[in-house]
Amino acid sequence: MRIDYAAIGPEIALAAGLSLVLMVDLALRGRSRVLAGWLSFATLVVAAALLVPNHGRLPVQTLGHMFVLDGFAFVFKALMLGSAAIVVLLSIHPMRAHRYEGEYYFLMLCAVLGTVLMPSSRDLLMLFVALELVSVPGFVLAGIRKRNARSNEAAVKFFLFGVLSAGIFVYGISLIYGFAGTTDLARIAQTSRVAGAEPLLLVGVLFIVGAFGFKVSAVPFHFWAPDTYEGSPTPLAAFLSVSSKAAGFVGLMLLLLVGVPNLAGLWGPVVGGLAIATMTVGNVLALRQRHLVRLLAYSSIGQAGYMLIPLALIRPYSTDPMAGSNAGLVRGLAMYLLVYAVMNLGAFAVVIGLSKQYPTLLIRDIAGLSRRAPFHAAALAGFMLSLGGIPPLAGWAAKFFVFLAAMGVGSTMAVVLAAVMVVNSVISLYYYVGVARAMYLQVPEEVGAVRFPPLITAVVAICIIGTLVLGVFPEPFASFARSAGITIFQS
Amino acid sequence: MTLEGWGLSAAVFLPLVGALVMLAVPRAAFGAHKALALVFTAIPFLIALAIAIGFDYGDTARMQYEVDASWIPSIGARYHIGIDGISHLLFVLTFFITFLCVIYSYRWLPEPVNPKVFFSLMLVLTTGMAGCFVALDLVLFFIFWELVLVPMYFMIAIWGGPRREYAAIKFFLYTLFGSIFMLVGFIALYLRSEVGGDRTFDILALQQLGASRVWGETFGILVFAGLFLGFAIKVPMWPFHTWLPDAHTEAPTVGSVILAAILLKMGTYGFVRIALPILPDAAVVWAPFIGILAAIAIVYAALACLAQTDMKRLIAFSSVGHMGFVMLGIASLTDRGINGAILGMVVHGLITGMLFFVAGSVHERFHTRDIPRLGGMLILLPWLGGILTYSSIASLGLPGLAGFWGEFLALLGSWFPAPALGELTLLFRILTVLGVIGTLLTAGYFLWLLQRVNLGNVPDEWEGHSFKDVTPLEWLAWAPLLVLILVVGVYPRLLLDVTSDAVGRIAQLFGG
Repeated sequence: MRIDYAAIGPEIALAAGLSLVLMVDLALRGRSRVLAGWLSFATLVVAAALLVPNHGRLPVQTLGHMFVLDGFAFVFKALMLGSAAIVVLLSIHPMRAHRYEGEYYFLMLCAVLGTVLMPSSRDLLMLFVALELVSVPGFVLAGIRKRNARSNEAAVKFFLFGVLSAGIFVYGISLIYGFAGTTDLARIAQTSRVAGAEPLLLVGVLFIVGAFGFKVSAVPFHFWAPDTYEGSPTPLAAFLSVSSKAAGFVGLMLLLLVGVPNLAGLWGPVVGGLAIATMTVGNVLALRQRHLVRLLAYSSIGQAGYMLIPLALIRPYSTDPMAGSNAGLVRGLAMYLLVYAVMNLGAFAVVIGLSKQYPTLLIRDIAGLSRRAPFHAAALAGFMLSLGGIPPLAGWAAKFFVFLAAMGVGSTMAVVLAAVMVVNSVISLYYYVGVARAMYLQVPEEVGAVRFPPLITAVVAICIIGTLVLGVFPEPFASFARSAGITIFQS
Repeated sequence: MTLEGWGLSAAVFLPLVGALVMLAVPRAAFGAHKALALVFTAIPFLIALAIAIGFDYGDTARMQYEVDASWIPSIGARYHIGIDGISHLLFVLTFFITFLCVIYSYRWLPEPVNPKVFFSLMLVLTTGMAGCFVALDLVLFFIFWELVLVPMYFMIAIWGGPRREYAAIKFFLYTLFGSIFMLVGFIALYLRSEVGGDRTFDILALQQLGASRVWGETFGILVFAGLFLGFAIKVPMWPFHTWLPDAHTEAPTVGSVILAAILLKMGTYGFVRIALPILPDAAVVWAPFIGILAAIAIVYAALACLAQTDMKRLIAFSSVGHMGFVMLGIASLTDRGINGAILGMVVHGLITGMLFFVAGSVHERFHTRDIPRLGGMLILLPWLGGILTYSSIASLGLPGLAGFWGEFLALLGSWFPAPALGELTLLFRILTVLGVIGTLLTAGYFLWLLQRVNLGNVPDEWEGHSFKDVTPLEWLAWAPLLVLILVVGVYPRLLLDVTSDAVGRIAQLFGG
């Protein structure tokens, strides 16, 4: 068997890079350990550089049928590498001179490797390996502030939920294997097409859906998220809410769309139920939050609910070429994930910048921020309104594409989901605007400018420019997402 | 040099550019911000005037200054803009009013004084409103429609009265709620438009499909319901009006002026531009319902006005009534009625804008708008009192001033509803009678307002105070409005000639 090294170039680069980071860190002392962060960033750049040349020769597969690099994988790998690069940039300042600075980047790169591997996995075992590669370093990272009680709580909750979901994942695999005699997704699809809705298969699938539900923080698998986000180093919370969540969605899509597409009539309503619960619980609980990171945690739960909608509406063997088609639905989800990454990372960037001066990160702390840091306040207001879907900020386009695809399906469930999404969007704006309100309408408790590290300011600037430009010209992301939508049904 | 091609875009986006430029100027440079705001409203206003001069009045039903460029090919949304007789007046009005607002604000900046944020919000608002009136693509329309929400929210929430935050969030969420239903309607139209070939968000293409009656009956009625909710909340029609008195009362003067003079028209304009021509059959079904709500609005608003003691709140409720006349005219689905409605929109912009200016200036001087505490203003401030008299009388629809024609034509239209509404003539005649009763009540509350505020002796509270009467800057901002109110009142054809051909094409759909 020949291995296509070019196809797995990004993974190789990441594996090499993370080993290098670990070793270099041993040799470094004091402030120079920040090199580990820059080395991680360089690793991500190299991985991206190795990914891009593959674009002309998609799709390719290697390692048997376990690893596929097609349009779908390409889009999501680009998303994972891009958001990881931003998370690393956001980590450099808060993690500087931390006792485990080097280990932090090593673990972060491990998790990134998992997220990059996920879109290429076409085998249950690969999906499992990728998922655990994302999760396990996360357990350690969440608890990296060893002496901090909240950090410990974050790690323990995350660990317990994570291990539980790993357990049901493996159990689900065993059931599916028992039924199909294979862990290859394409062959599972063939078998289930012949056998139809076999209960054993269905139970196995639902177990794995639950495990991914933990990763995307879908209700009722979300309980860990707010506590873990709050207690972890905030850059990790950004990673969990964007990259790790995206990895969960990618895994979910692969399992359901490649593995058991013909059972969409059965798992669709389940995912639809998850979507309704996730949207509603996330947004309603977000209304009561006083802590910025917890607010972002519940907001990201609500956002996950919107993203589950297109998945719930996939129909087996639909050939409708237009808006409501399966490809259109996946395009909507991919578009949402891409836009969400930009705006949510931007929001986290501002929060991370604040955390030095205001470790408590309460909404009260940002009262009157517009007078103390006008640019950052405006940017955070922009990210919040974008998350709420107000044009012309990018979030509207994400919501619009999901909405368009859902309405294109036109079934009763589509109408119900779209209606719940509408109601939730309005609810969510109350707390999104609430953040802007605190910054602009409340009087600051202290005076004097709030200082943000230049690197974080740069990231904020990149994200807000991206949010504005994509809001006015969503086409680049839309056509990029389209390629993901079309190719996943060809694998 | 011709404005064809870039003129509309330049006028629409220059204010936004101005807002961005202001971001780069330090906050303390008050003078610079005022000057920038003036420049970036004056130039678009001049461009709009040049567009109006170059407009071909022989063919107002045709889209002019059209631009149709690729924008989001993935969903077939295009950057398609243009103006015809229907949008022309509202487009020019937008720049006219905002320009006057900037002039007014040169002297009266609301507390906390922050011209940078105040003017940049105003400029963003201008882009949103003007864009709405030129957009010929539903997605583009939606973007401009939503663009006004955030600046207006902040304008009310930062510079408003005591209950500003409540009023601001109510305005924001209420309008947003409606606009999502509107968006649902847009998407439904897009998905169904495949009967005409490719799916499209293009308003003109959808109008053609509408004229050839391709939508199913139920589909049309449901989609109209979505559009209705979005537009009706913006207008606002009774019973969706409850955000308006709060927003108007709490907003700073200039915010109220913009809200009343332009923002509300986005809703009525939506009916004329989108709902009626795209869904003519559904419009016939919905028209009696709209007419009934409009008539209720007229009477209800007039009664509510009689009960108000806050001058601004009174004017706010009077807006609800005036928009009732506009909607009654639209509901008649006739040439006369819709012409009257558009005339009513423009004229309401002039008159009610003026009234809010006066209310703001009264508040600046007396630090109250409580009607029972005021009195004898003609003695204290003869000019301001005179202007209040003049605009109140214009607003109550005295013939000879602008307010008369819109109401008259709307009532006339509703007395003779479109042939498509033939069986409902009786209903519309009843509604017309209600409308006439409404005009009487309107005259009543405005005259009572004048009696309480302008006439009588100066109350003890203000005895001995000396107030500055209308300042030169106020004259500068107000004179154009005062003159136009008279000119349009004497010679309404000035405006009707612009609208009639374009409206005629819509009225044809209903046999009118």
